[in-house]
Amino acid sequence: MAKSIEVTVAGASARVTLWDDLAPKTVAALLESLPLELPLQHCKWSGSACFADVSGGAMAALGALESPVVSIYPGVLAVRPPTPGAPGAELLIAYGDAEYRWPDGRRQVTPVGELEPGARALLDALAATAVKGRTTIRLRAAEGR
Amino acid sequence: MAKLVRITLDGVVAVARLHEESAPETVRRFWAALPVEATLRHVRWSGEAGYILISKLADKTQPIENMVSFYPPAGVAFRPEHGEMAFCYGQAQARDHAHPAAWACHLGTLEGDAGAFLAKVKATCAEGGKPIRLAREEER
Amino acid sequence: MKKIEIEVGGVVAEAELVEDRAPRTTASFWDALPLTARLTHTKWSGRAAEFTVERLRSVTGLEHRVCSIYPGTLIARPDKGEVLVAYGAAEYRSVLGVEYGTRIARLVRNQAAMLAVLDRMHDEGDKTITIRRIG
Repeated sequence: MAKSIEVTVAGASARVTLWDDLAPKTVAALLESLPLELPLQHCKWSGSACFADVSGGAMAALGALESPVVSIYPGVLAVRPPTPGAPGAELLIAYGDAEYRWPDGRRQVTPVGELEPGARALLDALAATAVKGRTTIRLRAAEGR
Repeated sequence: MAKLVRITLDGVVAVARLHEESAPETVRRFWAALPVEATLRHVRWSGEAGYILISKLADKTQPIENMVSFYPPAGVAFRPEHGEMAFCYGQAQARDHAHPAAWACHLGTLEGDAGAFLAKVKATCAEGGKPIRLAREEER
Repeated sequence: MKKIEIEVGGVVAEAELVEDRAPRTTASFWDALPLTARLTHTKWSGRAAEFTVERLRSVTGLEHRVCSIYPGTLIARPDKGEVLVAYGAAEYRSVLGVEYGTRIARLVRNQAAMLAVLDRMHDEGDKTITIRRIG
């Protein structure tokens, strides 16, 4: 059975099915880091997505990208591992069309999972950060079912 | 005295002249590795070319000599970081998933009428992998 | 959400159309079904195969633009009448470099077997793809 976690933003919660076939090391690092509570803000360069910086812990010790992508499909959770120019990891979650970019252009991230159906409230909460500003994202292990 | 390589692809023969003056170390290593037998497959990122991987020549530390990004038609290109040798029949560029544009060594050029050989390379897209053998041609 | 059945090399998988994100393109694709086409490995876009759907040329512009093609995802480029399906790392590219397509569908059942048969195209060459509506 696929691993999953629960994500909460501004009171809206949803499950994320993790893709440990595509990104085994990144998924393992994410699970090891739980629970997480991080400041979340709207992306400046990457479109309809939000991001949170993750300093310390297993995610900040990640090495290379796994199954790298540029496009972050709506509902997808992705991780940018540390790089020499950007120590610490970055967690991203898209609510619409999104593409990971920096000021100097397109870059790649590791896709680690996607929101399960019925996450409309969470997607709306993410979208709202564009107007309402910074909020908090909580990630924790999902209770079994 | 030019180093020549005889290439037999699914029964069709071509000869490539190696660019020893402009890529001396790459030619030296490649020459020492011959003969090579492999399966030629169509490239998946680089366009109109076929490729083989020569694992014993893969070396991430090897500098790229006679650098090109766009493969010359009828050219033999080599990417040392992958040990990848490509035979270009049309428009092609050194590319992979991480690099929309990269560098390769222009290692050699097919001599004479290589049309039948390049048609076989092109056919790997529709027909799948084909056996290929590279061996030293008599030095002349 | 509309579903389709995809058959390649004796393997049958099910996919759902991303109608909410790409209504015009998925509608045009749905109208083109059933279809049988030659499936060819891509030369520029990585671990993906492509086939032609001429009917898509009636769609103007892109919806839900993506360049990365996740494994098991289908994207369309209507102006070229082209659809790609990825079995591994893939990014929509041409001789000009990175381009964009409309994401239209994703495999939801028997994905692993379908990706395996597509993976074999690198060694085996072209195959035939058949796509039918479900329901």
